[in-house]
Amino acid sequence: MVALARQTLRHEWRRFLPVVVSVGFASLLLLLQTALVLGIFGSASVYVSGSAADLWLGYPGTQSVDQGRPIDPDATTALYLDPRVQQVEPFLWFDGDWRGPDDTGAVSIYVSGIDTRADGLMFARLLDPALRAALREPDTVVVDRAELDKLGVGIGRSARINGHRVRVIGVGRGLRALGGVNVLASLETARALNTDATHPDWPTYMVARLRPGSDAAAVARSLAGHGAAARIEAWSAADFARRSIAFWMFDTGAGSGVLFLGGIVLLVGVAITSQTLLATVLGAAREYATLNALGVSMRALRWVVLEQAAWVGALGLLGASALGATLVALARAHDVPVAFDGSGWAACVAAVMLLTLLSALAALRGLRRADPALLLR
Amino acid sequence: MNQAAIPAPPPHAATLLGGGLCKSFVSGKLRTEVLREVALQVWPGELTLISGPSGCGKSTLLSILSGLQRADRGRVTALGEDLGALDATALERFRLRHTGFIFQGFNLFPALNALDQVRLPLQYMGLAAAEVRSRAEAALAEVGIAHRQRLRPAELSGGEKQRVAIARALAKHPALLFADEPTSALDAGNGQIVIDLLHRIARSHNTLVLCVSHDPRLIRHADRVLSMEDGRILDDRRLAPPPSPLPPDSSRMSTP
Repeated sequence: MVALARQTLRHEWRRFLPVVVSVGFASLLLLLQTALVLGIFGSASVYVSGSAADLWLGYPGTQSVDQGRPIDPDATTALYLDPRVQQVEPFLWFDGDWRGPDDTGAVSIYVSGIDTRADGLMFARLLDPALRAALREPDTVVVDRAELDKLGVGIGRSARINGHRVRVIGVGRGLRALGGVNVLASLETARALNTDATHPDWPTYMVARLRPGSDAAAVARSLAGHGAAARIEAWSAADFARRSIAFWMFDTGAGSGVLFLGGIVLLVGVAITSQTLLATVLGAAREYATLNALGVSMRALRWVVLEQAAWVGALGLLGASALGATLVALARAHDVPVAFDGSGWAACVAAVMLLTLLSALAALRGLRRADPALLLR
Repeated sequence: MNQAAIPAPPPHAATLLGGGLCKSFVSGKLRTEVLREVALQVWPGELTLISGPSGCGKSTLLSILSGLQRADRGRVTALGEDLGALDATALERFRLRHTGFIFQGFNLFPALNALDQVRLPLQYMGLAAAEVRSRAEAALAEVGIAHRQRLRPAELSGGEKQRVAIARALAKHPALLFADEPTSALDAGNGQIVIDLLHRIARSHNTLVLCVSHDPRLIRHADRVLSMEDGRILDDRRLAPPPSPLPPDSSRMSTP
């Protein structure tokens, strides 16, 4: 079997290199953009994804974790009565005003009041047990290590939150928030910092761990059917995380801006790739025309071009994936919020293969020059 | 049309017939008549040459007779098939089964070695891999470059490249072989080799070889020369008697 597409690609790699590079760059841009989007918007759900809670109870209609409002703890009693629930704890969340010791001005922060018991659910996946225990000391806080400069403090230094003096007792990783700085404190410290005069004790959420084998979505549904449903709403952790990311991705200008940019990358990618691919088709027009004169159908020749494009796309993706993985690892090491998973990669692969296919279809017009009658002029 | 002293074979033995062929091209407001009521019969087993000054319409006639282009008027019958009645796909299929082409530029794929150049079109004929290979090797052997079959076009001389192109056409076992200026890019020695090959193919395989050229060397070796000017055939000279008796079809090159 003579593999014309592959042999040509291998032999004339210099001619195809620009196409591979253009596909590769478009892929790399898409991959990094996806990693950033997942990383940045994923931090919108860091409270959910970083915690061990299976179930979230909050204010009805809350669209994203950071949009929570205080709820009446009395409305959550059903949670304690449900046999599928193993552990319940309140989560206090509000925004505050940080003033560092030096002249760094005011910084908008989000205060998270969490249960500091060793088996506490909130931030269980991100917070070191020793650090969680350290928070039991009154008026102490933990921040992400990448936020120290912004807050103008170091470990052991003091600052003021809503006019109340606190001390930074340690730093964590992966605690960065979207649109502000996360500051972690014990429930007791947080209550002292809360400026909500009407219900300073009301939690923003009640979170729960379910017994193994329980279906969080089913528990959430059954709680919704309870009498107090009008005052609270329940979500499974996965659902609430998705809800938060979707809110930032689609209901804010930021998300549509990123999607628009992704569309532009694809469009420019198609424009460049189709042109370079067209040049390679035109370069072989006489040979293709000869094959057509010998009776090889135009349909078969189109397949050769499409196969070549598919190889180019695959090679571009391969290079971009290797480079992308390196850059994502580098970014992660420098606390840049990036995240990557199989589904993000699969979406990029699909987009790039679509880009390549569209480019190849556009380049097929080059085969019109492969008219064997033109060889006889 | 003049007929020379040597008698032509009977018209019913012709495998390629053109009648009343007209073709014109329009460029802007200018309409150029390239073929004017051309009629001809071409027989298998001989090398027929169409010659004439450039622009006389000989290449257009070749492309119409070979099914690469349609005439504005007139009719082409090849192997009993009315080419005008076939759609584009059917024409491609007809060409795949019955025709071979040799062009002035060799039009070989730079990436493929000589053997693969010949195997490539055979692959599309639905032949078994073993037959594709044996046909390709036999064709390369017949044009005398079996020992160069692993080389790519960049490693071959002009004459060798044209011989690969001939092998590529020959391996299909075509009944009709068309060639457009096959020697004009070659030096005297290689041109002569190509001429001899075309002649031999016509005789030994009973192939109809129709060639367009203004190369005087080729004219001397043709069995029959049609001279064209201004879209008409002015002269039809027979330089050699028709192959007689005509070799039966079974003598065509068979698979080794």
